[in-house]
Amino acid sequence: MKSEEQVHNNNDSKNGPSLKDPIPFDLTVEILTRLPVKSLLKFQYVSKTWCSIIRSKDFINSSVYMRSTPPTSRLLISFKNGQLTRKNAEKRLFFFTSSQEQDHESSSLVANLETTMASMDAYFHPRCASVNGFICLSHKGRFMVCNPSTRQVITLPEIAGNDMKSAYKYLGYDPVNDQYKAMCKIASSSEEDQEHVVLTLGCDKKPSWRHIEGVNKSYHPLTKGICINGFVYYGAITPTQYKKNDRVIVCFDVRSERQRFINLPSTDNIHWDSTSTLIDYKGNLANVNIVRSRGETSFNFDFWVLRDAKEHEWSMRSFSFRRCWWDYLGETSILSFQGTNKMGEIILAPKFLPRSVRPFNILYFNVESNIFKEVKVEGVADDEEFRRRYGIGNNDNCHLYISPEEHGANFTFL
Amino acid sequence: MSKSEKKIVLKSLDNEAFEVEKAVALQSQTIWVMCEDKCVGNEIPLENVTGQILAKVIDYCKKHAVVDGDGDESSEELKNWDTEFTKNMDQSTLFNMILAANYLNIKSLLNLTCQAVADKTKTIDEFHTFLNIENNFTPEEEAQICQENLWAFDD
Repeated sequence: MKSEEQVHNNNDSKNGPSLKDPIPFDLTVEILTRLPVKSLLKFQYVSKTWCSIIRSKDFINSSVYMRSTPPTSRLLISFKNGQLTRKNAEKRLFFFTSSQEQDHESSSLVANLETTMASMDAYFHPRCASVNGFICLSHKGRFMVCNPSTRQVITLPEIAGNDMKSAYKYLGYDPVNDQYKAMCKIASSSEEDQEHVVLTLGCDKKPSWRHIEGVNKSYHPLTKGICINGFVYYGAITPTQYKKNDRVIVCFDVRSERQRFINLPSTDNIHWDSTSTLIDYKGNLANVNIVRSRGETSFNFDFWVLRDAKEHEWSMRSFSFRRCWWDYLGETSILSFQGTNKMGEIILAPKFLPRSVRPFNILYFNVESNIFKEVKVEGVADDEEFRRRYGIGNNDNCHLYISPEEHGANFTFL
Repeated sequence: MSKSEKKIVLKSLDNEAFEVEKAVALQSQTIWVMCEDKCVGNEIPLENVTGQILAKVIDYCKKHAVVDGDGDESSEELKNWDTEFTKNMDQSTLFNMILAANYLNIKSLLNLTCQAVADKTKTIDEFHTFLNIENNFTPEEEAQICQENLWAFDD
């Protein structure tokens, strides 16, 4: 019953209405939700509407594409080309990712260059472990939060009226309100005057710093910060040096914005300096310290786990590992703790990128079984061409930062 | 049941008429509601769809209709058919198929065509021309984006 006599007036009508009208909003969303993540990141620059859709907080995380590819835990490995980089080489921060091995059998990981970030500032270092994929950076004195997965960079406003000399920057996540907050400790050069300011990220209105009532005793931050279950922790000392009670953990409740000290155990033999590392051990705060004993065939480290924050209660175990294990890490004898994987194994890695061009090893240490596992990491600046291209010299000390990310890449925009 | 009750006539924007099995047409929620309301006779006018597009939509619905004794198509075959169906569609046709699937409210066809656009469109310019989207960033906003482009894109 098709009416054959119906004749098309012109070629335009053949394909239906011309595309004079832009595509309706809901259909735009239907199409976008089917694009792979890489395309979405590229296409946010199609128009303002697209940008706002793609950047709406959980759009990418909930897209069809992400739902069909469940996230896998991974390692985020970063370093910057060093201080001694050839003068004409651009300073850059490098981000590599590698999926973490799923079983105990494999003994190597292959990392891929995810992205690099231009940095003119030589003092460009992560101050805080990755918080759900967000990294806190200090760039020319400004507080920046970035996510290498989405490549979002947020430069936070300057702290008004701040003529303080030093600023320590931390990033926290409040899982109850699903909010990210930046916290900054500013102090005069003598560290006698200190203030704490907080800024909530991802608000629609222009973000601004608020003063909070911090701990009333002045302190000097020592360790990098870590955020666990809505609390940011970092190690510090209070000015009454060389006393037993001068070693503290500053604990910042991201939700209530209150701060307090957690005392470290008052034993004489606790090592507490900038090599102390705070890690997330199965959801608890833990502190690891290397106890150096030169010339011996074994090395020790202390492992403290916070059992009760209110009671300042810790449990401590000491471990020793043989010199030969240390040698597995290669030429560098400087080693650093880098957090834990989901099995609760502590990750140890060389502090610096190896000077010779080669893959490096990391170690997983299981505190329960007391077993070390050696894993080779391939692909991180381990070829001549890469090092030449980015001016990574043989004398550079390129600090390695490794962040285990249990939930894989986070595509949330703030 | 008489023949006329099992069939339905769909009339396009450009007055092209298509007689189809009711079971085929009722995959469209829009047509289903129209039939339920009994506000139309045997002939349903579809004011937003041209004959050329409607013919394709009917092809799709025929393939996907669950008619008695005709539902032995394996899902694998159906998937292949869907792929072939959109493979050679030009972008303009695809665009109109999306609009039609949306207007007629055929969820699976909307899924299929949106996915096809997502798969076929590779550049920002293609989206600008194909979906008729204006790049409406102001120079200031462009500058702000550039500031974020401290990153090296690796594609």
